[in-house]
Amino acid sequence: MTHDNRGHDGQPRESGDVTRPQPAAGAASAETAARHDAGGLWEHPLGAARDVWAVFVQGRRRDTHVYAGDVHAPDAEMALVLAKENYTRRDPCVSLWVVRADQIHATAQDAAEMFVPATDKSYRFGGSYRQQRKAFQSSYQAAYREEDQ
Amino acid sequence: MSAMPPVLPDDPEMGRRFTERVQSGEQIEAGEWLPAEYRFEALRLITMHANSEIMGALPEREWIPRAPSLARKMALTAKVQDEVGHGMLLYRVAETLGRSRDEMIADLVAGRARFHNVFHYPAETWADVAIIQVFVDGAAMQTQGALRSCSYAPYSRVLKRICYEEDFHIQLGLDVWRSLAEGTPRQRAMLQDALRRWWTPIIHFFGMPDRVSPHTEKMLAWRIKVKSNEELRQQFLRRFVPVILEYGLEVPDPGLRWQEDEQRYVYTEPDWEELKRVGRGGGPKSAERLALRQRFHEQHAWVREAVNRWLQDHAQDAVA
Repeated sequence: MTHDNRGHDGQPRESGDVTRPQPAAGAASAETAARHDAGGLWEHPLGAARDVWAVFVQGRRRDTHVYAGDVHAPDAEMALVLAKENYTRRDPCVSLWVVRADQIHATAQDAAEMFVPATDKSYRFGGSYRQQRKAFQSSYQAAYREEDQ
Repeated sequence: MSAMPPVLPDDPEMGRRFTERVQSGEQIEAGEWLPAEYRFEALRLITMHANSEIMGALPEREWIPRAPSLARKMALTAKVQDEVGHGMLLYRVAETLGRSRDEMIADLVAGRARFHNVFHYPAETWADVAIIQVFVDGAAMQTQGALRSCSYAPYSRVLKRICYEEDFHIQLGLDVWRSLAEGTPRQRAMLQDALRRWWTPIIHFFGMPDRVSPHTEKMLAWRIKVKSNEELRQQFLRRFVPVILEYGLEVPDPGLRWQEDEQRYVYTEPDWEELKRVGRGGGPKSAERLALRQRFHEQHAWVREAVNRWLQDHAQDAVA
């Protein structure tokens, strides 16, 4: 995502502010913020200038809209026109979304550890049950043959 | 939370951790902490690239009205549109490093910013279009292809898209090249002449052979530079000298030969002073192309004023 280090007024912020944006009221849950030991906020607005729009392209009807890049535009209609010119010149597209980039909130890059599973998550995957069944069946068959003799 | 100390711009410990991260192959996202010097160098590189896309559209643009067929006219228009689009993408990436697009474009039209040496030269004939599409875009592809693995993630993402489109430019160029190379003796002579005029600027394109300076080493360590100038030039020669020979055309450098034991091309040292002069805006077309860009910038000032006025009038529309 292309958040830049200009404030909402388009003025450059202090470079140090970029990873430490102003806290939005009630935004961070105390628990998650405490777990993030780097001490920064775990989420923040992207902080783009007001005329920056993020563009999402849907390639085919069955697909999700995927972030493609940004355009500068005064309003949504103009943003869609520019998005069409810039992001749909070749590859298939059936629908475009544009959203003001300054309305997007993101988890902090240095808070990525909160997505790392704390425990073994294999019980959430079908594949791990297939493996168990295979292991069970092979030992069952081996036992059956031994009994047969 | 509000008691957190502000991040110092160039804390040596943070700088050391940053260098470790990028050296281990990690990429940096927009908005993350950067050493001030990294920000400066990355911004310089990306602004220069953005400017070159915009100025690079101009030599080929001159040939749109004179393209020899409708198919060629449509393809060339598409290519020029791609280049301007690349400029748009790159200025946006540069903005994430702290300069606004308006400031960068103001620098460009005022002649305060640089753009690639090759775009300071004239495109005299239709054969020049073939040379630009094959060799200039081919040269750019070596640099940009390598930089796809650079450490600044937004630049790297945009380069993937740019290289995808540049591939079309090179394939289109090879088609124009082939039709001229297999054409009449006059067409072949025109192609050979264009190649002769473009050879030195293209060898210049990759820059001077790098001295092992602390600066270059830092750029390589930070992965703002991924391969040395000379490596990229050699990569280009290996890919494109065979294209010239395949069609029985002459490489314009009589000193060019393949050095088997070193696995590299030896070439006649070009006049590096010319590169410096051209880079500073002293090329045969520098002033004319800048004046054109400036004229259109001024002609379109009313659009920017209208947009800014609209934004001011609708400031309260922003969702709080």
